[in-house]
Amino acid sequence: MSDLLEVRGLTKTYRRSRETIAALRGVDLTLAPGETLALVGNSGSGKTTLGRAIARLIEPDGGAIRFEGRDLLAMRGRELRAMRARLQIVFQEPLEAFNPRATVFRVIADPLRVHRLAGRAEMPEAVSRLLVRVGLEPALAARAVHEISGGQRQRVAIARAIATRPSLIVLDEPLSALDVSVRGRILALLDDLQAETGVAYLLITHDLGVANAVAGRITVIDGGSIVEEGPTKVVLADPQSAAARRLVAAVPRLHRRTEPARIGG
Amino acid sequence: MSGPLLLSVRGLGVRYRAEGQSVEALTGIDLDLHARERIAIIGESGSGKSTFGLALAGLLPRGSEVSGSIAWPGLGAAPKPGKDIGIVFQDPGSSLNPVLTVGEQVAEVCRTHLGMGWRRSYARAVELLDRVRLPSPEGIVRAYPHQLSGGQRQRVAIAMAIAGRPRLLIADEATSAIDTVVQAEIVGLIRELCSADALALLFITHDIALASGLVDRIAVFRAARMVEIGPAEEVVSAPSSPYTAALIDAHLGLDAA
Ligand SMILES: Nc1ncnc2c1ncn2[C@@H]1O[C@H](COP(=O)(O)OP(=O)(O)OP(=O)(O)O)[C@@H](O)[C@H]1O
Ligand SMILES: Nc1ncnc2c1ncn2[C@@H]1O[C@H](COP(=O)(O)OP(=O)(O)OP(=O)(O)O)[C@@H](O)[C@H]1O
Ligand SMILES: [Mg+2]
Ligand SMILES: [Mg+2]
Repeated sequence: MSDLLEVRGLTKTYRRSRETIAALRGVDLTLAPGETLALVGNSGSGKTTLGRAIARLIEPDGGAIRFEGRDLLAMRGRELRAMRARLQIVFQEPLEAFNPRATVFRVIADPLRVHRLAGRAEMPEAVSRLLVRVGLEPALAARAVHEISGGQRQRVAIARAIATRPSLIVLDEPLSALDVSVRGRILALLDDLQAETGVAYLLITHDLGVANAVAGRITVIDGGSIVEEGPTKVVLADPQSAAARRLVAAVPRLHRRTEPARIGG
Repeated sequence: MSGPLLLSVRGLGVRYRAEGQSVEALTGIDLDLHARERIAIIGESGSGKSTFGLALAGLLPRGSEVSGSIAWPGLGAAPKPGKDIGIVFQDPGSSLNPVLTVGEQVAEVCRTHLGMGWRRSYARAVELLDRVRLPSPEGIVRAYPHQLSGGQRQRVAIAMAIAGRPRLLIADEATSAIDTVVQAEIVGLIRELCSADALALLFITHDIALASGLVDRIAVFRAARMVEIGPAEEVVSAPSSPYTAALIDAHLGLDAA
């Protein structure tokens, strides 16, 4: 099957007072339709920068991105707007992405309205259905975004992203504040949606347990370069790069009484 | 070992009012916290964990109804947020000022709460940014929050929270966007602060494995109530509530299939 997303030689350098930061140093990456690829790496390694460049929210300095066979970086105007329904992003910090005073209803209804996926009359029903899918009460729709909990906000962001039935969703730490029971439900939802619609996910996460549970393939970024890529089970069981080895070694483990005694301090 | 009693909560309840709805966020919470003691709060999304942190810090939004009592025998007076209590909010971006450099923000805490001069405050800011393992802190002090990655912003928020040498640190999902390597280092730093500076810790997290390696006691929240509290190892090895048991079973380790 041909690729859904193909990133070649992507570069991005930021300037910050007297420093320059090479956030992406020639990144290559491909994603097939219906695939889940985990993108992991240290804090500051360039994951969000890459995700935002793919979602056309920041302009890279160099390189190429093809999405559904077309040159993503050349898209303008109407073509670009139509693409936004097909390629959604869930932001790392949902509170920053939305106007905190906007209601939950508006946050979810906006993309449905803009892309003409629901008329005025069907809107309440469409919004309720999406809220229920992410495990939230429909009554939450009336609240402002700052009047719900952090994990509820993350789920509203996911409801908004799936609303337009995209073919690719960039998920930037989408589960970071969710307890395991809710997380399990969201992972199941993402799975069902993939089976139904064939959506692909680029899952940015620092949680190797989550990557292990849902992504068939994993790619490791370090200092703006991809340093390792392969089937998730293989990479996590036997990491080759120093970056991947460090991440795997530091995964917290449950401290039970039956484990050898640990002296705190 | 833990020290004298810092904080005593009895029968705490919180209700929010929003758009004509009244939301019961907490009910009947009792908790004693001692100096040097580290407690984790875990539990379901929406169960009231952040609300509990905000209530202790006196930062609940206007219009919320609070019942029960929060006493601070260890302080003698009502605590000042920033000075007596350091807080890392769940959404780190929202606690940082977008128009000040991160160095200015951390230094400002030292100036206001420790009475240091500007030059010393700024030097301490660099030192704190280094302690939370930010790379090249001399450069990062001059950055604005939006020029940092999510995990870097979280670490700035941690540096700000400990800058005023508080007696209690409330960390709400403070390491949720930080990779495992830095997470382990931050946990080490917090542990060190608790024993060296007699800091007490309220560590709100969804990560039960992370909690189990850091804290003395774990409290489990569900639907506005505290359903279980006990020594960390006991809660993890022999949970008394079925909800806690389910949380532990659902933990996604690397060895899980
Ligand atoms: N707008 C910006 N201006 C200057 N530097 C930036 C900007 N945004 C990010 N950076 C820097 O670029 C690098 C990559 O940042 P990015 O946000 O892509 O990292 P990340 O891998 O998503 O990290 P995290 O896991 O902490 O979210 C970091 O060193 C960061 O400080
Ligand atoms: N300002 C507010 N107005 C009205 N309701 C609120 C407000 N803030 C929170 N709530 C509600 O109160 C309940 C508890 O919220 P809280 O933020 O304490 O949960 P939490 O345990 O921290 O959840 P999470 O793990 O998702 O962060 C939730 O049902 C939430 O929707
Ligand atoms: Mg990021
Ligand atoms: Mg919370």
